[in-house]
Amino acid sequence: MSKPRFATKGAITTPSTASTVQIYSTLRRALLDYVSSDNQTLSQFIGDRIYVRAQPEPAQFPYLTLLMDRTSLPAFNGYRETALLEVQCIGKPESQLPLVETAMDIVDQCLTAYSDPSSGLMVGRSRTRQTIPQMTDPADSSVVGVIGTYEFFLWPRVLTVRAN
Amino acid sequence: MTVKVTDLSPQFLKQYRDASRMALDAAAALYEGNVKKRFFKGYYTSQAFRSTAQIVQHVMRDEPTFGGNGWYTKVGVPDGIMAKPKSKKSQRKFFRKLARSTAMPATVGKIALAWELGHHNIFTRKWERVAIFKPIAFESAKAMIDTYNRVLNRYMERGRPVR
Repeated sequence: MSKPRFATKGAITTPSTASTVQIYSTLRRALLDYVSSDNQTLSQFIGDRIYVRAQPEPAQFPYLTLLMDRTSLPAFNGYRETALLEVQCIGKPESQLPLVETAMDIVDQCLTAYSDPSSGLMVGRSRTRQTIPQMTDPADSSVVGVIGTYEFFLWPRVLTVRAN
Repeated sequence: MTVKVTDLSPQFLKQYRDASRMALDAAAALYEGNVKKRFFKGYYTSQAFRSTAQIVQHVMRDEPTFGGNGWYTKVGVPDGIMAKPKSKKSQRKFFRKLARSTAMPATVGKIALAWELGHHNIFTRKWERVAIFKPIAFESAKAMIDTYNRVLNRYMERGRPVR
């Protein structure tokens, strides 16, 4: 039995919406490649520490996590998806808060009005952003974070292109 | 002879405003019920974090409020409810300690937020996350829209609360 596409070497080509893994990779690549108007890149703040769902242990701060929820409505025959991309930027100790806020500014710039028609179609629309308040027990109160939720519309190849 | 032609839009608009308030409250009640049901299925299976058992007791919904974009309401745990031990003796000890402490007290809302968004847990020394409110919102979305439409339609047809 052949391995699944995402597990083989060189299987992930970005930008692409051909699979959920590739959608994540496309967004990760877009974030890392983005250069802000001040000539800043995300890698200056977080290196390449962008993970899906959660960071590997032990955590190295600051880092960014991506988590996507996708739904589709019958009005679009299920092909157009609305995706809510949750981005969390987490830092420790508290002195990293300015770093985290600035990193999220770059994420905001990159994902607001994001548009990628090269494979399927993926467009960013609205967003909400909140600084996470200081946590108490059982959470580590010296951890700081900003959470942003970005609304995307997708016509992903994984749904719209069929073999027959 | 004259025929009076009347615009009943003020009556319609008032009825529609009342109907949409009822419909919103019904949809929020459905979500609130689903969240509570999920908590009763078990929150943290390890039972290591007993303070999380207090969250379900405080899940509630606000009265609908009319804002610039129509009615809105909130479902969740209100701010400022302190997580406290169960027994009277432990509670006395807890409040004495709290009065002396300068640290920020743990509130039920903050505990729920930490588990919902994820947090670095000082006891397990790991990243912990059990999201409940968001997944239930996604799961309940269609049923909430159906409930909203059903209540709105029935109220508009009858002009009084649905029994």
